[in-house]
Parts: sequence; structure tokens; C-alpha cells
Amino acid sequence: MMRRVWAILVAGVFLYFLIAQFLPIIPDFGNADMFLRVSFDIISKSTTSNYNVVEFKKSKDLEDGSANVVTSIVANYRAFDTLGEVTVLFCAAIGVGILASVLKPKRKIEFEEHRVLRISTGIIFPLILLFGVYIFIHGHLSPGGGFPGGTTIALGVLLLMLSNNEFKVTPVAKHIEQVAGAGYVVIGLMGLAIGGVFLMNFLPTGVVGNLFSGGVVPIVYILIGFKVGAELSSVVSDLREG
Amino acid sequence: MSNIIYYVSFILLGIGIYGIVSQKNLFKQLISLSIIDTAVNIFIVALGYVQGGEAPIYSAITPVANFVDPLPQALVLTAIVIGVGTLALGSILLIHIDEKYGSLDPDEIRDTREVVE
Amino acid sequence: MTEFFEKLVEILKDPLNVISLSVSGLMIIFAFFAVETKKIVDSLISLSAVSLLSVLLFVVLKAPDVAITEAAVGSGIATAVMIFALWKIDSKADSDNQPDKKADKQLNKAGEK
Repeated sequence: MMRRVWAILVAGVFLYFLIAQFLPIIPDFGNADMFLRVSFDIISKSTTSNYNVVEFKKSKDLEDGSANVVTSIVANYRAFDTLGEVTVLFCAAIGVGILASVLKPKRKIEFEEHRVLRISTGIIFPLILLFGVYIFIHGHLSPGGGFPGGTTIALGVLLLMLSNNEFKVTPVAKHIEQVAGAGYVVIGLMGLAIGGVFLMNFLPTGVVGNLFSGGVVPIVYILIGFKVGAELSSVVSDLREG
Repeated sequence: MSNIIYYVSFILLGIGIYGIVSQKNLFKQLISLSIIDTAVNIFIVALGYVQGGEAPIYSAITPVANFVDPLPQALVLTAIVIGVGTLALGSILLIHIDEKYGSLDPDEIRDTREVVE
Repeated sequence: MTEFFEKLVEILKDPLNVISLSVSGLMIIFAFFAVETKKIVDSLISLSAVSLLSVLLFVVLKAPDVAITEAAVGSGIATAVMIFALWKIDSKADSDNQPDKKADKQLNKAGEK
């Protein structure tokens, strides 16, 4: 009983500081002034040059050619933060892999065999894989990108694991993850060698809206999609096998 | 009254903090941590909304820019994936704690450690 | 009092406002249920429901990238990982060849006194 009173008190003090001191400072909901923010330069793709209007399927050879503005932030303007996120996921997957192999009694989680699930998994699993690959290849044209694409692939592997008790994720997944992670750093070093800045966009950017536009951004997202897919499927497999 | 989404996010934050302080099971504390993650993500995305703006993608429907703020969305994309990494590592640590000490209650774990030492 | 009701009717004319208000109310109810219930399996399923309802809120706030990522990650991988971990924690109580650690410690404490 005392614990709940303490908990309500702590939550109440925190909420008071948020509502009374922080909410009057920020602008109201929906009234943000876009001309004062740095996102204005990022939307009009003109951080180092003068402002010019960007139009769909007409503007050519800008400093960043992807139609999805969030993708251009994640993989081009702020690609170093994405490298940090890939590192954090890598550390989490290493931690799960090491700690799951030390557990003493190996208890594997077994499921019942269902004929309907097994047959329908054979039909649905290639479609899920195709959908995941579509999401991360078109990351610069439509919403999505590397992270949800890789997660969809890992969910397909989870479906395969649920329907078949003898399915194992072989160490090939760990090799794919290592190669994809190293490939991202290699692209950064190539940018350093060609342009002088780490992770620079050194391929030509085409017309905004075509499939082959955006320079290095689709390659970065393909590598991230492979890496996240292999990583999350080996995390789920390690938890299942004990 | 128009910034009601901010208040919803603060209420969820309050529920999460109440859950961490008052619950006596380590698994419940992990679940409350995940609720706090979701609340903060909603708050950050709501900071970038512009009235009358569209989703930040150049397409045939919006050929010229009239977008909401894309920078908080890029930040939240990273935060969601890091949240799931934290959850995975926390779960496997809880499996090890339960195997070594026999229960998931912090008071019982403290008593068990004093008896062992 | 009546001006409050007039403002409420004015807000509720827009369908996006109706969606966001009802989804927010459901989210708060599910989050409170996830914290307060006794069994852990119920708490996990409520957490998955909170993640799913936040996807609707992200779509109303015009953020499709964030919505796709949260839908794939929150309702898929996070729930699966935590259910596997809970299975392993609970399955130890049924196995026969594990000594009961709590009973041993209490016997030791009683024996020392």
C-alpha cells in the first residue's frame, strides 16, 4: 500500500514539472513555424547551395535525389547516426547470442504439429519474403526503408519456425549479418577516399522520383535490410533453442 | 484544448513511471519501460505536426513541398528499433536471473543473496 | 457549460479528431490494465495492443514511415521475444529434476538459528 502511494507521488511530481514548466515553452500543437527550423533546408534539398524549388520528376542532379525526405535524412544527411543505431543492434544481438548459449539445461520450445499451418506456410512464406524485399528496395520512393523490411523478413522466418519443429537457423545468418555490417563501413570509407568526407554521397543522383536515383542511399538501405533481417531471425532462433 | 495529444502522451508517461515504482515483479517493470518508450515516441512525432501539411514524400499528389516536419520522424525511427533491442537483452537477462535465484521478486533476491554471503 | 458542449461538438465534427480521441482513450485503458493485472501473459497482450493502437495515432499525425516501422516491430518481434522468454521462465516450475531453491534457503536459515 505504501508502495502505491510513493509511486503516485513520484509520477505526480514528474508530471507537474512537465505540464507546468515545459508545456508553456513549446509552440502550440500544429502551429510550428517551418521557416525557422532546419527541416526547411532539408526539404528543399539546399543545405550547401541557394534555395530552389524541388519538383517531382523534373528536378535533376540535386545534392540528394530521393523522393522520400525521411529516407534522405536517415541515409544521407544523418548517415552517421544510422551507423550508431546499427552498432547498438549489433551489441544487443551479440549479448543475446552469448547469454543464450550459456544456459545450463537446454530446453527447446516445442509446438504441436498442424497440417493446415504447414501447408499454408509453404504458400505464404515466399510472399512475405517478396514483400519485405520490396519494402527495402523502394525505400527512397515510398514509406518504409531498411528497418521495417528486415523485420518483415524476420517475421517470415518466425512463421517457418512455428510450423516446423526441425527448422534451424544455420550460422549462414550470422555470416550475412557480418558482411552487411562491414559493407556499410566500407561504403563510408569509399566516400572518404573519393570525396574527402566520411559517408559522402559519391554516386550521381538522377531525377527525383525514378528508381535509379539517390546515389548511395538505395545501396545503404539494401545492406541495412539484409543486416536487420538476419540479426532479428537469429535473435528469435537463439531464444527458442535455449 | 487543441494540444490534447500532448496530454495523452503525458498520461501514458505517468502510467509507465507508476508501473516501474510500484510493481514487485521484474518482468512487469520491463513492460512498463516499454510503455514509456511508446509514450515518448508519440510525443516527439506530435512536436513536428503542421496544420494542413501532408506526409513528407514527393509524389504525384504533392509535387511541390507542403510537408509536416520530417526531422522528428527520422529520430523516432531510430528510437523504435533501439527499444526492441533493449527489450530483447532485458528478457534474456531475466531468464538468467530466474535460473540463478529462483524468483523474479527483487526483495526475495536480496534476501537470497544475504543468506548466500 | 453550454459553450463547452458547443466546442466539443465543433471538435467532433472532424473525423480525424474522433479517431484520435477514441484511440487515445483505448490506449490509456489498455496501458493501465497492463500495469495492474496479476498474470503476466495478460500484461504482454495488453502491451501488444498499446503498440497497435499507437500505429493509428502515427497515421493520423501524417508519419507513414514511423507507422510501418512500429507496426512491424511492436506487434511482431517484441511480443514474440517476450513470449518466448516468459515460456522459459515458467517451464522451470514443472520439471522434476530441478531442486527447489527457495525451500532449501529457508531450511538453511531455520537451521542456522
